[in-house]
Amino acid sequence: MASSESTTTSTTTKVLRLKSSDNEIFGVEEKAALQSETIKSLAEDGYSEDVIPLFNVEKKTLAKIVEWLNKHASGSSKEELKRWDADFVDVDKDVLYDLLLASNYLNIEVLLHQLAQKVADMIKGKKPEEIRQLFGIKNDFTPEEEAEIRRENAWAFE
Amino acid sequence: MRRPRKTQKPHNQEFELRRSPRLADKFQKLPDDLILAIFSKFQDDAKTLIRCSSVCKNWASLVPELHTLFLRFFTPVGDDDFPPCFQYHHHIPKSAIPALMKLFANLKSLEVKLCFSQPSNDYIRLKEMVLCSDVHRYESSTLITSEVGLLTSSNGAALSLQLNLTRNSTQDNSFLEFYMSISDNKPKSLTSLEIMTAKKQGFGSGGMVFMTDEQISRLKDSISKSRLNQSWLENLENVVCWLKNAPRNQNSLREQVLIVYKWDFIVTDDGKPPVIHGRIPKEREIKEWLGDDDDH
Repeated sequence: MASSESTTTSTTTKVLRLKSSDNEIFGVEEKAALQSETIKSLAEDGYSEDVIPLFNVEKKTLAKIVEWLNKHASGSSKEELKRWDADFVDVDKDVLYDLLLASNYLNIEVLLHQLAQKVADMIKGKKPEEIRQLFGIKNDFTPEEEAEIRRENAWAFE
Repeated sequence: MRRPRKTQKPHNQEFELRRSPRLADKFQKLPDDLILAIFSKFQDDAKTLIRCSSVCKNWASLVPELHTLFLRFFTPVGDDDFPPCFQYHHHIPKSAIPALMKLFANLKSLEVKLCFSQPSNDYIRLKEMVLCSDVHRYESSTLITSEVGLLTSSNGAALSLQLNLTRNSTQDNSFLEFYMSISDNKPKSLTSLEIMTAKKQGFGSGGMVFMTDEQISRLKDSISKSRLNQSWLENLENVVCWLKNAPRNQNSLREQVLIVYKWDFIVTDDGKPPVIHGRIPKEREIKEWLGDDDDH
């Protein structure tokens, strides 16, 4: 059941085994894994010798998260990380959504803020109807309510 | 070492098909704290926040949960009514204040950069801390400084004062009117308000000399009568405080001169008129006030 990734264990560094909700196991060096506050507290609770179950993260998303954790523990230069991060968050909306939820659940603050910034960049400069369309959000205002908001803050809709 | 983007193509396709019917409303189901994390990226962009508040009712209920805002306003001076800075700033018109303050009903901290329609070297900065705000008592403390000129000396101890020639009271009045407009409309939750004029880039170096209005008059008189030396600045009778900017060239001074004034404002519900108590701030208060000074 263990994936091939968990077999490349170095003899000197401790590897934590993370299990996704769909039972895939990822081996991650402790230093990288502990960037997640959730994993950190689970490890402290005695899960570290065993498999750490992450019930809210599917393997597809956990693979991405593990990729991020490894990169951010690799000692890359700031410039290199910046480029890499920009590439990392350049994913479609569904992946972005799953990553947001996962980084929130795993409590990886740096990643959470990168993802929030990415969504913010997508929203910036768009009209309300464009934002709704982008994220599939239903307009639940009555025409009167919507007109009222627009009237009160007309300058923001120019 | 990057993993290829699409490793398990057949699996992904199946996955997409299975999930696509509910993808449409995914973001609508994003937990509120994550939506707020996204909104917090717009602390300096009221325009986008207002647009977000008209996306759907849930977003509209979350926008007012933001506690901190940085805004850039524009106020005309005289007949000119276009902003002087040509950078890509969102200038909010002053007329937008009441509706903005109503929307951000839970605001705790507001920082405002104010651009005038006429460019100027003048720098005015005001910080108001609300110390108490309940049904029985409102208490605030306000410190305001305004840059009036440059005090210099070169090759020795003689000081000379160069007052800002462009200074005009219309601008001071515009500033105070702007402050009153915020003050009249601010939400009850607001505890920290800071307004500063956009400063012309590259102006000012060296230290800062804080003085009261009266001390500046005395300085002007003294300079016309006699030669002053630097020790004059160290005498606390002459200045409120002198904040030196180390490391410095002992032979050449170049200090900004700022008028400083502080007042405490107290309103109680016992029917007495509001108390406005003006006073000279202490050096400690000025340092505290400058604490987070950065030119953004």
